[in-house]
Amino acid sequence: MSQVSNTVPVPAKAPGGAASPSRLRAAVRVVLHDRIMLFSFLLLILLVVVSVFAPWIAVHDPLQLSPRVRLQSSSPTYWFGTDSLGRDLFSRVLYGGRLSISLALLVCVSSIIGGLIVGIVAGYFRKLDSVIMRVMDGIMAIPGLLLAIAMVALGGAQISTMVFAIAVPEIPRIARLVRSVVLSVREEPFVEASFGMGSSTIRVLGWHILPSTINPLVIQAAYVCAAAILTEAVLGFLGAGFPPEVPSLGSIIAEGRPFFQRAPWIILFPGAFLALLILAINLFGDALRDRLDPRLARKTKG
Amino acid sequence: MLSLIIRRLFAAIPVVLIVATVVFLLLRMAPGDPARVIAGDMASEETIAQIRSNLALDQPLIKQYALAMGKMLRGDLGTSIISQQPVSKLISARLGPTAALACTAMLLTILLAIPIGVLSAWWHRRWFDRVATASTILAFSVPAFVVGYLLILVFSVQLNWLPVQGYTPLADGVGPFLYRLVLPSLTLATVFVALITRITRASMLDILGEDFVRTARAKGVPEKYVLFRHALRNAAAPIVTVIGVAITTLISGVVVTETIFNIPGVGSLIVDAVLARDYPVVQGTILFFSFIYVFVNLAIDLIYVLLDPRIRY
Repeated sequence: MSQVSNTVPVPAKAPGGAASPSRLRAAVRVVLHDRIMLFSFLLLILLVVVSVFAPWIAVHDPLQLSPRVRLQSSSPTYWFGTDSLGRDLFSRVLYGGRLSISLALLVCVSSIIGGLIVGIVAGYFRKLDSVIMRVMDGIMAIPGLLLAIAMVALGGAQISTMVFAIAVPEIPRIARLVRSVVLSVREEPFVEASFGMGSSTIRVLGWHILPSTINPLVIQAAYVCAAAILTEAVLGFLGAGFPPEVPSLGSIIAEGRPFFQRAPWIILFPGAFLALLILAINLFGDALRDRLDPRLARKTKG
Repeated sequence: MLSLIIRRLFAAIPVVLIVATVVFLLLRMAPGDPARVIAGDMASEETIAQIRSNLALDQPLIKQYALAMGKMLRGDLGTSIISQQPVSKLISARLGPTAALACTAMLLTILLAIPIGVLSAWWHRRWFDRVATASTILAFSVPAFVVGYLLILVFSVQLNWLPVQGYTPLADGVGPFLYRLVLPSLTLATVFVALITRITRASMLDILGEDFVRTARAKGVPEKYVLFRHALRNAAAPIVTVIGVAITTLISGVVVTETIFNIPGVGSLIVDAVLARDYPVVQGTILFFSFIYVFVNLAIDLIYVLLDPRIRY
């Protein structure tokens, strides 16, 4: 918010064009010095790496059925044990994590683009503002999970429907955030000056207003990712997610439900993976917020 | 006060209409063909066309919209494809367990979160505050279904203190009713306790730095009165706001919790409807829950007036 006006310099994000090596070094220094940030960052990297490289790390095929070894607890061969059909749980969890993370990134990008467009239009074009924001309030009144369930149930569980269904409920919050930034920036003298120099509306929006939204959006992006991973897992758990042959963290847990008392690991391992993933993102998001938005950090941290 | 209530009720009408419109449009805009999904993979083109015309999906969008709105204004949320019963009847038959679950979870949240939040702010940066803050972050991150199964594993399977699943209506006695609700309410309340603790703490931290708190302390008001009478009252508005906005989280949580604990409520109604591809029930239940959100927030607007005499609408 403030890095555009020169009166309030933001630490570690000094003005000076694109990411230069010195800025990168500053960012690395920040991460190394903040213990929580370092911990959450490393945890996140670890989980992302094992998920992305799942095909090389997982020695078993996540879909291969071996009824003779069904419901085994963890062992050197099957690290996380096996499920009711004798499939290796470790491989399934890694592949499930892979799906969660890629879906979360897609949701994150699409909801940010959507929220950015809606927020800028609402904040900049005053005539459209009240109409757009009423629609956003309308979306916020609908429980996001139910909306996602309904859209997936009606549209079938393709990747496009999933992304749309999880991204749409996230848009109003992002749009509100962007709108509030636009409303405060558009009154700044440098925006007026830019108009005075003959810049077009598009240029002012893209060149002067868009950059101010980056910091708050980066923080929001982390939370959207966490929410998307959670929603995808819940959809899988409720049976409204991807088809059962696709390993997803939620559907693995759902399949473990009938065997819960005999084989609790079918629920606990994917549950723990899911919780760690979301925890890492939330912690990283909090640490990021403390860095990028000191004003907000004071409010919640004291 | 009465005129205020009436005015706010009228103001809620356009909100309800907007919400209904948004639900309608979003469900039509979502990629995919509902008729094809309802019919299943094996269905012939005739069956699909039949379903499409039964649900009026072959009509122009504007006509579909008019039809849906007209029905809704008459209080008709649609008719189930499977059981042929009106959706409103299906919902009201299942409302009891859901209301019981939501209310006990809410009560639990207020009883736990507000004292923890207040004490956290009072012992700011001491060990209590650090433990509480770390726990809220953890509680935010563990999904409800993992919490639920952990609770069942510990309290039902290992310790054998509480029943694993199921629901006993209030008519069978208060004791058994509450006994069955302990674990589901705890599961549902976890995220909420974290959320409300956080906002209570933040709001109290703001207020405790204000002059009137210092004045109250200076004139010798006992600390517990300073905290709960002077500070908490003034910190209440943001807390109540967050409770209102978080109703959607509560509703999502209800759906998951009812599935974990096999509770026959509105949440499991929607899950069953999704699995059976009972399109009108899914849409009707979402509308129902959205209206609940609108009216809870309406009630919260009125609570503001009671909480803070400075607010006038």
